[in-house]
Amino acid sequence: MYTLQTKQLSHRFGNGQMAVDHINLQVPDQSIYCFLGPNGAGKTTTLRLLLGLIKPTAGTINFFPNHPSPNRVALMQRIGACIEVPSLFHHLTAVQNVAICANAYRTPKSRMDEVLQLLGLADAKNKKVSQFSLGMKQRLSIAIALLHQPELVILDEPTNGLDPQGIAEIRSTIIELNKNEKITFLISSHLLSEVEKLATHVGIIHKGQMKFQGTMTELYQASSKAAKLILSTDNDEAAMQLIATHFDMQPIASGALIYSSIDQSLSLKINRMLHDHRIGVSQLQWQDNDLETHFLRLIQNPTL
Amino acid sequence: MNTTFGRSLQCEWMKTRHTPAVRIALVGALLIPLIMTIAQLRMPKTMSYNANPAEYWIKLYIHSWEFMAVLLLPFGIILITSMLVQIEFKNNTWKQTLITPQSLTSIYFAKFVIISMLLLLFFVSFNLFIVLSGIIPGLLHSDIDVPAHWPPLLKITKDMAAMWLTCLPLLGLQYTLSLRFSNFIVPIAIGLACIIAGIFALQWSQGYLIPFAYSSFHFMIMSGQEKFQFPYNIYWLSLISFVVFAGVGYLSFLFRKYKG
Ligand SMILES: Nc1ncnc2c1ncn2[C@@H]1O[C@H](COP(=O)(O)OP(=O)(O)OP(=O)(O)O)[C@@H](O)[C@H]1O
Ligand SMILES: [Mg+2]
Repeated sequence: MYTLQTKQLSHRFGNGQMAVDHINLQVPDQSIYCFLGPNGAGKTTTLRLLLGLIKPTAGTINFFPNHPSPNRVALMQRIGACIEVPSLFHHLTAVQNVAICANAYRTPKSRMDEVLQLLGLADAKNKKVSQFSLGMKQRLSIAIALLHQPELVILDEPTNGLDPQGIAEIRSTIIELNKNEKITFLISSHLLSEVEKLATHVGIIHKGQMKFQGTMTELYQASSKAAKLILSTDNDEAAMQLIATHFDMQPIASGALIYSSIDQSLSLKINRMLHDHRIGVSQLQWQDNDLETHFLRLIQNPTL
Repeated sequence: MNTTFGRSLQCEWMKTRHTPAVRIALVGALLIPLIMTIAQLRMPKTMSYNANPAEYWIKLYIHSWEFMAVLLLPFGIILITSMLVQIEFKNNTWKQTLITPQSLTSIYFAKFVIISMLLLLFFVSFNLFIVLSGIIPGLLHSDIDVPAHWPPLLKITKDMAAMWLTCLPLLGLQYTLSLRFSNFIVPIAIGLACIIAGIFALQWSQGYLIPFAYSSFHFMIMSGQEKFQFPYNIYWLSLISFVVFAGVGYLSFLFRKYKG
């Protein structure tokens, strides 16, 4: 079941730009859903819409459809978020910032130290936020999002400004919380490498439109399906004919045996078939079957 | 008071407590009484209790309020209101504030209550300092006596309640503007224009049409210098114009398109 579902969610800014264009978001229960897209794709705008910070021009948002909250105040008690940090009071210390939220969420005092500890801020908790580095502010914002043990945590580029070690720490914290406390995460990112290590589910957004949505495994499958196959044989002419008749495939470049958008499982069959017809295969190589290329393909190809 | 609102009040107070706003209110309240104390010590013959024991308290009180009511107080209201609302814009915290489980109504009124409580704190401390400025010169200077009777506390209390009421229109307008404009220059500029309009209104027989002059008119009434007879009671007008300004602010806060 889904923790969060949107239907045809759209937002048009005053300047007429469609920043979010009919998005059907489906965040399954207890998933780590990564919302991936390049700069300006509409990730932050989508998260703002979800949190009610801006109004959708069209579409619906449905949180916890199984056991919905009666009103916004009750709903916000179940969600933790940080959007485009830092959103902190710079004239206050870390612990004072946390205390304001603890007060609003009615969380016990003991929990404050717990989250500060969890995000590695225990030593800096009495420092003013104005003296924090970007990474420390980011950590504090995440601490606040986790403070009241919400069922769903929405994080907008949480690793922004963190050092590699910090990124790894936050990642393992998220995975742990997801496993042990069954917290669902919706995390935006523009780094595919990060998403690969973290996500169970992924949504790829570009220019306000959802280009792909599914499990991480489905993304891998889609990417391998869209790969290129390059062949070299001792009789390219005959090989081309055979492949055309047996597999109904035409090369994308004339003269060379390069095929695109094919299923990777075909390579074995092609190789065997050519062998049966006594054509020697000197090279059989896959290209662009990695996620990176597939991601670029998704956001560059206007027809997809 | 429902508990959600109580919590919102606490949250707002936690944000405000460590800002300069509280200090500004206290220093602002101290300034004139300090000057009055020094003036009495310097010129005991003309300024002090001994110069005119019978009318000492009322004169000291009126003199102290003279500068305050017309200029410093409105300016302070503009400054502090803009500053406290600006905290959220400057720190980019509207989004954080608005995603906590508090209703917009709660947040709107909690902030307003904190600001108007600061105003009340200012009134109480200002009057306290005035009373001290009436007693301290007598303790420090051998030619000055400590006043033999109490200041008119009942009158002061009544005057202050009314003063607070007549400050509400400016407070309401300033609150509305500060919430509306993320750039704090805009509300401050408009607020200053309102103060100037209020000063001009003092000379105008239709001055009751300018809500920002009500605190000055009230000062004239409390100091017995009333110049005009207005067809309407300025205290009721204060309340009405406050409700209008704050009401507009509340609605625009509720229906603000871009919330953070
Ligand atoms: N307040 C605004 N008014 C008008 N257009 C806006 C506004 N905020 C964002 N946009 C536009 O909406 C589009 C999506 O912006 P958004 O901030 O959602 O992107 P993003 O995916 O979060 O990018 P990034 O990875 O850089 O954070 C952008 O083209 C941006 O120019
Ligand atoms: Mg963004």
